[in-house]
Amino acid sequence: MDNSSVSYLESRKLVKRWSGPIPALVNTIIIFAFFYATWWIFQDPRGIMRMYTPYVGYMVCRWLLILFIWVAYIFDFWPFKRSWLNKTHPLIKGGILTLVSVAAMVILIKGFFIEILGNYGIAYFNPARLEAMGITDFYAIEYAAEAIMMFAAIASWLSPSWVVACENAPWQKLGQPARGITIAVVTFFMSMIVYFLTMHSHMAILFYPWQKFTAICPPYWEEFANTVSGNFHIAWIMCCTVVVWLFETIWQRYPFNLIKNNALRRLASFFGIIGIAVALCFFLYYAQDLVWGETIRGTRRLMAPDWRWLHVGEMAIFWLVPSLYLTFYCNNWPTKFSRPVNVCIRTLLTAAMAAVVYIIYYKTSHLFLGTQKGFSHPQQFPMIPMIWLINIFLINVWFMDGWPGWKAVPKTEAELEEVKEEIVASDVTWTSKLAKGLAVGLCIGVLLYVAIINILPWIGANFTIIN
Amino acid sequence: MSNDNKNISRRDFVKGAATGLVVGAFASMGMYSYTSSAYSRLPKVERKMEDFGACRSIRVTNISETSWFNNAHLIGDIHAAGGLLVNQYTLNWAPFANGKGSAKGSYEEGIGSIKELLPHDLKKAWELQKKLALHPDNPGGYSCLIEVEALDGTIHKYLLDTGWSYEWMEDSFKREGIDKMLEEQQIEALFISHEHWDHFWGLPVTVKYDNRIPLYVHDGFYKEGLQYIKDSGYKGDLTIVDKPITQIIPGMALLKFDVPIINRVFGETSLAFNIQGKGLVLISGCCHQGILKFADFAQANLKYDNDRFYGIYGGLHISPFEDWDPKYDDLVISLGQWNFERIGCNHCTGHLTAKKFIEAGYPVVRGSARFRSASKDYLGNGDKISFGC
Amino acid sequence: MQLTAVLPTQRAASRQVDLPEMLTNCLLAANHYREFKRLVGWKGMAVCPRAPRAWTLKIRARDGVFGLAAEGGRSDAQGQHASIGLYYFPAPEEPLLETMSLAAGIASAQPDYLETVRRFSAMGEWAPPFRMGTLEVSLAPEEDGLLLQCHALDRKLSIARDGVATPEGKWVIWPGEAEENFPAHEIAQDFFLVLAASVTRSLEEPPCRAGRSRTPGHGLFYDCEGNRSPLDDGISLVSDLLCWGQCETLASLSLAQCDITAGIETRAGLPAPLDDALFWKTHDLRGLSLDETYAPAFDRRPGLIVLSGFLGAGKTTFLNQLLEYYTARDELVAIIQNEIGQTGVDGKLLEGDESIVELDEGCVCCTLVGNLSKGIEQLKAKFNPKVIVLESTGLANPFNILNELEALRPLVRLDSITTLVDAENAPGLLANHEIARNQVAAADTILLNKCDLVDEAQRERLRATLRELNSRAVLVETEHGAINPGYLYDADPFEQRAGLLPCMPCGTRHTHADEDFTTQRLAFPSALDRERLLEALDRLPDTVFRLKGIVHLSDEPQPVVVQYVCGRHELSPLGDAFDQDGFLVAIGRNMDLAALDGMQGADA
Repeated sequence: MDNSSVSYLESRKLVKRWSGPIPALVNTIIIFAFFYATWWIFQDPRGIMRMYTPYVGYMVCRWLLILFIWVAYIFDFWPFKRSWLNKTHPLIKGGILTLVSVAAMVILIKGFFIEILGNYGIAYFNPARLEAMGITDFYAIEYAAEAIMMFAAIASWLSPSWVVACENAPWQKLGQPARGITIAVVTFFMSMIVYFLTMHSHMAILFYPWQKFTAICPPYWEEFANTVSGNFHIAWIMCCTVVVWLFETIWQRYPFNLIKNNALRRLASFFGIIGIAVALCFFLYYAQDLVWGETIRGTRRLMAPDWRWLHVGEMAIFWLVPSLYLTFYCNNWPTKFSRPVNVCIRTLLTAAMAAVVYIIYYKTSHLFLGTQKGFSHPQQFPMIPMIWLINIFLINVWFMDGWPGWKAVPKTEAELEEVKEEIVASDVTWTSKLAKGLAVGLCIGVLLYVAIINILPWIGANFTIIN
Repeated sequence: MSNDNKNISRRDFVKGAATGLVVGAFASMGMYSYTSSAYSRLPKVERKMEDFGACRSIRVTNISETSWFNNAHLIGDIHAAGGLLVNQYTLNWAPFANGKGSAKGSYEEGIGSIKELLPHDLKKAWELQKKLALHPDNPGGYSCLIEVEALDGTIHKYLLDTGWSYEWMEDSFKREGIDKMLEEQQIEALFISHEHWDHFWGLPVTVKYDNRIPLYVHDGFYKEGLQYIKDSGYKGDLTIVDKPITQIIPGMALLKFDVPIINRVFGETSLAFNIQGKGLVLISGCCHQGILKFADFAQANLKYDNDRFYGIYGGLHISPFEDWDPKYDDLVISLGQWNFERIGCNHCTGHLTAKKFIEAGYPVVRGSARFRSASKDYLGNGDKISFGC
Repeated sequence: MQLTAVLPTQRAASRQVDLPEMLTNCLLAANHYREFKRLVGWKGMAVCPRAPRAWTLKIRARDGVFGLAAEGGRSDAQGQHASIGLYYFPAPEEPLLETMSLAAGIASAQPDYLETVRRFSAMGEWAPPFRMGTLEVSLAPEEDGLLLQCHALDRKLSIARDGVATPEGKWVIWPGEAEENFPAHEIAQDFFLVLAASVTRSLEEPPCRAGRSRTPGHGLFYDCEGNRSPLDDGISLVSDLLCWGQCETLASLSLAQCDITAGIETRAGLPAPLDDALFWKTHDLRGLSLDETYAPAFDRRPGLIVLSGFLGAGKTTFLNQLLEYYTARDELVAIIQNEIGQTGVDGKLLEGDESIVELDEGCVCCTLVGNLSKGIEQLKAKFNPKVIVLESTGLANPFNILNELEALRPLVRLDSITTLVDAENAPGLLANHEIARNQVAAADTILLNKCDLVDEAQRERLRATLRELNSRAVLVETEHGAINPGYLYDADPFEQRAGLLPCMPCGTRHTHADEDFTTQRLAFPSALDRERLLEALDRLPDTVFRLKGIVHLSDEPQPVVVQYVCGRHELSPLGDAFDQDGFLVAIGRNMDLAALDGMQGADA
């Protein structure tokens, strides 16, 4: 078996250049410096390009994320040759791949969405058209950016899902670019369907009067979600995006990789991710109600259901940052126990870290990011800086092989075999003891949940993050 | 059993427990968090959600918001008479003046001098009273026309309040064509928000053109007020509002508030509208109950589209419950809590308050400052505001 | 019994009366009287928004906030009844908190404590630690009798048998020590007296009977297991009871249970403070006004606020706030104004110009007192204002007026000398002008305005400078003169305030000539070019301190107000017609106005 039969990311191994925590420290410092510099150049409302309007900036970082996923996961770096990837200096590689992604993104947003869809299909994709119809320029740009961004949000769940959960089936045998194009087109098509089912009505009610003839208004989720806003879908779709990555990174595709039957495993993974995401979504919504009191429909900002749904997505993203960091820069610590125990420890650890990041972010972000103080301020969109940071993680790990702290070495024959076998895990087998453990664990899990929901109102009453 | 086996089984148990913990936590998140039983644990504010129908749109025409032209004279007269609790009918203002000076007025003597002239010869009646009254040129009046478009497209017209000075109100009515509407009996009812001079004392002007118009007054009206309705030559159907909520037509309700108001007036009625696809619109004369209480009451009792507060129009009096913390800019902050989408304020709101609304970024509809209205920061005489179209 | 002030006059006899609402109406109606407000020390009340029916309010007796929460009613043969929970939320630094429960202590330490208090009835388990007792109100079936009761423990006590420890093992509460131990009845009584006085005022009659009973109460003993047991420590539940109207029918049951009752004639036998409380007297304010004890409440003199501040500190803006504040409360403010310069610009800029009497004899501070008192007498006769603001010119020395103020005492109540300081220009002005220093030294209230234009370090330095000049004044920082006047002039004659008259500096009287200030007025009959005007303003030498006026611009249909202070200028539309020629008034020292002069009459 040679390493060209697996994807580039699976064919390489990243090894530390120095021992101990130094590589992680060095990379962290460089990443943060790069983050802040690029943030200032592109996003910061006080900076140079000021895309943080917020939606324009949000659109850009979501689409960048998608393009990175397409380049690395779906197209497996096609048209770049494997030999080039192996030989080129990480800095040059990172620069070129990032620029290619950015160019592709510009073509997609400007060419496809604004010029083609916005001029020949759906008016709200084109800000110039909205403006011509009397919407103020700020809102015209925001609305169009929101619609284009939502496409990316949906695609950033479905595209990696196809690779991670469905294992590229049924096109895993195709070569590149056939496989990449097929999966990109299929996931794009599915995103389109999901977009129409979830966000089109939301766009239609942004305008007055509601565009009843072109979309279903009020939408079907109104009763259930207690809002007409599409933020309800943003909530669970963002949770899906996050859970896909948790499943791929800190969970090592456990527990669905125990299923031996291919079709069953892929289906279970795909729908399992959705199930877990929905559970997380409901919990995060309920948690807010416990801390801040029940929502009042008809208000805006903190007490409004639509903002709370949006905040579910924001909170989920806060979980993704420490999870990716743990995988990329801490070698997926811990690895010394059995896989289920590792997964459990990582889950609890990253969740706790997420809370810490959340608190630090809301306490300090307005001091240096140019965002506004307050949870629900319209100019406070934590998803943007968080995804911006994740994008930089991805550039560093996918495009630059973790430079400078790490370098890529090709995997040996044996290691490649492991990757193959890793698709179906065999380290956990059904025994009576396991069943007992499972029963006890379930009870502990339920108790943990009960404890959390009982402690949240107390936290809400006694702690303030933002004065 | 060998040690190895023990170890393996113990490891199996730990594997199971670790998996179970995460699965159990996620499962309970999914199965319990967004369910009615989870929410029954939270403290509840009971809302009645009374359904009073919906209308398509409303348009308010400000006939007059200048209740008086000189604040200093008005407040000076009140204080000279003995302060904020003096019976308004004894203040010696037209049309109940008797020439005896401050605080010596009486309803009977005042009305006695003009009763014969009501409601036909208002010009003469007012001239006569002007000779007897304090600051005779100060009176103006508060009145607005509300046009409600029902869901079937028919237009219903209503008057809220009828001003004060016969002279000024006749001119204002003619300016906006209200006299014609009244003569043709197009206006379906007159609501008096409260018994104060600037909202109620101009009643003969309405009665002159239509003496059978259905009339709604708060059950806190005093006997002088009820007598004045008779003495104005009113022959129609008087409704004394005694329920907290009275539905008028679908999408329009009269809300009653029992609050003591200065100069021995009791209670205010205000109007609430449900605009289809938009939300709730509140219209008040002075809002003596306080905007906070007004909005709170509507939120606790009414059902309206989108569950959203959409618009407000009228005088927004500072709440009668003066706030206990002077740092707290009562009206500005409390209005902000409700997130109205269109605010039309005037009359007793205060220019600086209107300015503060604008500074706070509230969607205040500006006016044109015509016909003696003082500020462009709010809707002046002759200005119009529409909700829902 | 007169219920017309608190219930609708035309109400149907059979209809359920909303008793909690009726009580709050009593408070509202009674506090329409300024005298009553002062008597009981009423500070205001607010509705709890978006919460089950409740109110918060403040009175002079205590620093914290009282809360009332409607709890439920019933009807029976005795009439209608309602009970209301009575809460007291101490001010965050009040020592009382030391004796209240841990939960109360933690809650009050939160930064949003007062915001939470505003919605206490919606906060579920948050409020109970602050509960003081229960009010019960009953109305007889014929509406001819009203009964008001207040039940509260004379000591609210709970003891932690096992103590309460921090995780580090430090004792927060020693085992067997009391977690809470405070005089609930005493606190509740403060409010009960105010409420009862309001009821007497609104019903216009004193209570017919008053009574008090004590029944055994108990504290609470709890351990870490959560076991609770009652604790008898000589605690009793005190019930105070008052009834108005026909008490025979209504209160016979309750009165029978009282240990002691009395009517208005026999009230001397009641325990203090019931024996001589205000609620026996407030139906007759006129009679009360003859009682020397209550004299300060019946002080009918208008308050005098002397407003000073160097040129351009923001006096006019602040004055507008003051006008709005009192007008919204149906009170009248009279302003005595004087400006150096021939045209009273500010007269044009303030609303309601008829309430302004401009004394055109130059500067009030430099005129004879006879004239000032005559002006005030005229104002009082004409308008009967609640507050008189003496807006002195920016160049006036308030110390000059202090001597004269004494002579005004029969006419006005000296409320405050308020000085506005422009944070941006103050350091230079204070260093160079004795008048500016005197204005600060003479103040009772210093408003440090335009704080948005300086950074924290500059503010800190400025505060120190101001403190050096005047250590007893209240110092408040504002932006755009935005401050609620109620915060500054909460005139409560029963509260001791710092003496009004600061010590006089040794020195002779000043006139403006000492500092060679001059004023010049420029007239502009034709419209000016905006660019040229701005350019001219930019070029003004720093000997020009202040410039204001109204001009017509060629590119602007509306007349424009020009304001210029020490190098910063601002043009804003007048928002009103102005059919005279444009003009500018400049104040400064040895001014060179060539740049502006050049524009006079220039065709734009």
